[in-house]
Amino acid sequence: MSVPDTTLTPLVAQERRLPGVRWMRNKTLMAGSALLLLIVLAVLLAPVLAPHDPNQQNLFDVLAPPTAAHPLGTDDLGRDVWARLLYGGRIDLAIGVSAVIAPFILGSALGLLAGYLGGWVDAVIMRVLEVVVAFPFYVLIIAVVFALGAGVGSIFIAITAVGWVSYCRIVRGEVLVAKRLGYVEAARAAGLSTPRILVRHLTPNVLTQALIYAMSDIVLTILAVVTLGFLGLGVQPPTAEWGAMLQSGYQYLATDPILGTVPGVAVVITGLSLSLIGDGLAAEFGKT
Amino acid sequence: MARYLARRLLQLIPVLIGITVVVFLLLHLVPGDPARTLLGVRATPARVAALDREWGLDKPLPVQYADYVGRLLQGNLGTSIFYEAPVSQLLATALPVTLGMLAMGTAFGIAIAVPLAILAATRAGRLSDQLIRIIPLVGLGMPPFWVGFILLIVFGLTLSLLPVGGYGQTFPQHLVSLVLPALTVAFVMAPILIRSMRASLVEVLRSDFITAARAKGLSRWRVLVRHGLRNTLIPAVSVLAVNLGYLLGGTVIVENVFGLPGVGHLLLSGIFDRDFDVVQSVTLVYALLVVVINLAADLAYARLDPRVALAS
Amino acid sequence: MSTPALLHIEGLSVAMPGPRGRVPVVDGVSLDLPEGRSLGVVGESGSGKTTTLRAILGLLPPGGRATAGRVEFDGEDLLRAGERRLRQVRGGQIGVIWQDPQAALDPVMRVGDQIAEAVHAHALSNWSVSRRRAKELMRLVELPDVDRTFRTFPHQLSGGQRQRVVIASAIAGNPRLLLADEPTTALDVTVQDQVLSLIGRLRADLHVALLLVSHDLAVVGEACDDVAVMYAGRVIERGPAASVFSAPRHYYTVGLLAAAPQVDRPGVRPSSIPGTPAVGVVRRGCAFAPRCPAASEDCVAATPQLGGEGAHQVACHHPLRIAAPAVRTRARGND
Repeated sequence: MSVPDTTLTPLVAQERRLPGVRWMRNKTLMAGSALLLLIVLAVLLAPVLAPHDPNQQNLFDVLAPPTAAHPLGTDDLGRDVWARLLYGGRIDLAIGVSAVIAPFILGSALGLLAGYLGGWVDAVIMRVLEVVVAFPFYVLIIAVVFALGAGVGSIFIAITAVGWVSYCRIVRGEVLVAKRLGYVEAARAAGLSTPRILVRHLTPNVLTQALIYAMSDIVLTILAVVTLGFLGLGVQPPTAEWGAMLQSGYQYLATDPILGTVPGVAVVITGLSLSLIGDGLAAEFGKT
Repeated sequence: MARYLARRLLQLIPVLIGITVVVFLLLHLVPGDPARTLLGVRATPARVAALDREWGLDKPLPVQYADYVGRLLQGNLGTSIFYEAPVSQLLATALPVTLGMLAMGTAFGIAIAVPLAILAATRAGRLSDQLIRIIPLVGLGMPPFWVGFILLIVFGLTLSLLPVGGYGQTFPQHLVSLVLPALTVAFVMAPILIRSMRASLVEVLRSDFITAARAKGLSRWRVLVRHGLRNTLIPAVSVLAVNLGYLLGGTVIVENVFGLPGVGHLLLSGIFDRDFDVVQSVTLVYALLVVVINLAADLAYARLDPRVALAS
Repeated sequence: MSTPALLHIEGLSVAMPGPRGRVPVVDGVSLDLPEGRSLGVVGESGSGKTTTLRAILGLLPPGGRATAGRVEFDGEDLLRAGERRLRQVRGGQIGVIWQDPQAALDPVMRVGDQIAEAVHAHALSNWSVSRRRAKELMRLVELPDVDRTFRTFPHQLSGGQRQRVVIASAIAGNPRLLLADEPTTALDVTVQDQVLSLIGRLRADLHVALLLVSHDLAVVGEACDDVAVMYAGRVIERGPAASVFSAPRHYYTVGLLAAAPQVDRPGVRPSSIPGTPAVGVVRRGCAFAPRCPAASEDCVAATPQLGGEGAHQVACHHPLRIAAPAVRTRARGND
């Protein structure tokens, strides 16, 4: 005989309003989403907005100042900076967003287990977490990429190996709070099995916080990709990428400051849009 | 306090062990044989085997680990192939540079963040607050090394005020050459501090004891500083410590940008020269730094907050 | 005639920020407190009594504002006084005793210093003199082992001791008026008595007037000469405590008294007032009408004003004229 499905509404039920309406009233969220949309459109429409080939070298026209043909001038190999900016944005954004998925899943899963099961499982996971956290973020990423060899694959592995900890901590914390609130006990008393409790009831609530963090994590990841690119450890040349652009920009900082400035501005603006979205989400689903 | 310290140290042991394990495994992750990588084109099976034996790479992994820990406990951090010197010696000269930059940067960062946080919190909701709150939003997206670029352009090149690189020979020259890198660290640190301090101060100022203090007729200054700030700074110590891991990492590339001969520079050159011992030991040192700083922060917190039970 | 009251509140209205703009929380409250006397303000939570107290010293939460009325302390309207003048009065001529002593004390400052700074703010002396005076005050409020207690932190003391620290701070400036916001609510029952009698003793010795806000009728009955009953932001009955408690004229007051557990009639179950308490101010008419057994159309149409002969006044269109069945609380004047 199967246990009747008593759908437990979580203790803090979210109001069921049309998601669209809520979106629109949150100014921070709107601003961030609009800005991000702008950026995504810009990089997607790169062929239209920047007619030059980003890898097309022109050694007769290096480090040129901005002109009508080259709105941001050219770099040290005569390539159009504006085009490299937009095409490079594709790479950084794509990696930034996708590299966050694995740590999100891994970290959340471990956090759920640690929080829910407690005991030695929790102890082991937390010890491992403390060890990983002891290493400065960039140092560990650089060291792992060094060990595995430069390239996009290494970036993904490094980010996953280092980035899971934040999700684990957040999710575990949420689970512990939920346990204290008592509705986990109520579910167990009603006879629901462990996996069911985890999936159906705990997950929606605890994952919201992880999702909010994911926004700032994407920013961190983009920063990591850009930093690795700057060091030559990330996406390999001649592919356009903001970090690589900053690397050549660094060498010519005195003569052509645009090259060293503009890609950074692009990173900052992207980071701003994501932070706004994160803040907006936090205001909506925040914990007060 | 001594008992608290002892207890914390005891709790650290598994973490320290874990750190050494990670650092040890890190270099064994390298695909392919390190000996073969080092020898490159000169690699023959015989030479590779000889080098393996010399480095103890033919022994089983746990034994190698034990050897490694043994060496560590004797203070042997390996030898740099590139510099042909013990790593510990290299670190001894590099560490003061990095720590100096970090200390100066933290001081600048606090000097920037605290007044802004106070301004924002006391004028919560108004224009100055909204403007200040933009700083963390923008600041958190700034690559640390890029901040260095901007400072270089503004101060070093355009205004020609400060040196654009290097460390100088004399102590005053050291200090001056640390200014721009320290400012870079400060600009990376400040947004994080501003955000958390502002939030914390806003909440403290809403507390009942602040109202009670006002009801005693105390001056605005005394209420804000003696009661408000004191209660805000204590959690701020924790925030600083938690973010130190990220900040330390940022210093790695900042040193690169400004040509400072610090630990970060050592790490990066170790990577590019494929100097294994250097990379391994520098990574270890970074982790130890984080652990030490966190411990110091815990002790400071315990000292500052009378509610923390020192004896169990 | 009688001397002008030390504290004379007239037509005070206060609005507080709400989800959709400001809502009135206190409406046209008038109170009088002569020098050396004590006035109790009773009501349920949401009646506006605490807000009224905080409005006196301009200590409303952010966004709160006094929208009408006067608060005259010794002839001076505090609502129109500048921040600097208010700071002189706060802790000086008017002291405040808070509800939750744990929350009212700075957790990271030693209690002795917290009392000393209250002294220092109103005396032209140096710190060592202020500290000595603080220790005197600690002895006055009967804190044990003064020299050692001076250096303790709030979390190291018991609830009753913390409240004594708060009281010491309140009297540090030799006040003429003490405002007490539920001073015993957060304390254990056994300690409540001690603190109440301490307040009573200090009042008598220092000749201070007392405005005591509470939802606990027993406390008010014991400590106060006069009482004002508030409901939904208005004063609906006021007068000498003995009179109001033994012969209440507003149905709400009757209900309140009936709802209080009877000390000398333990078998009698307290009755409750039907309906739910009003939240905030009702614009027109009597706020209690929905729950009142004697309500009529008048009650909804027109707001009743305080009226009546003598000191005992009531705001009701159909106030009780005959004394209600004797309901005994420990009111002063009763045995």
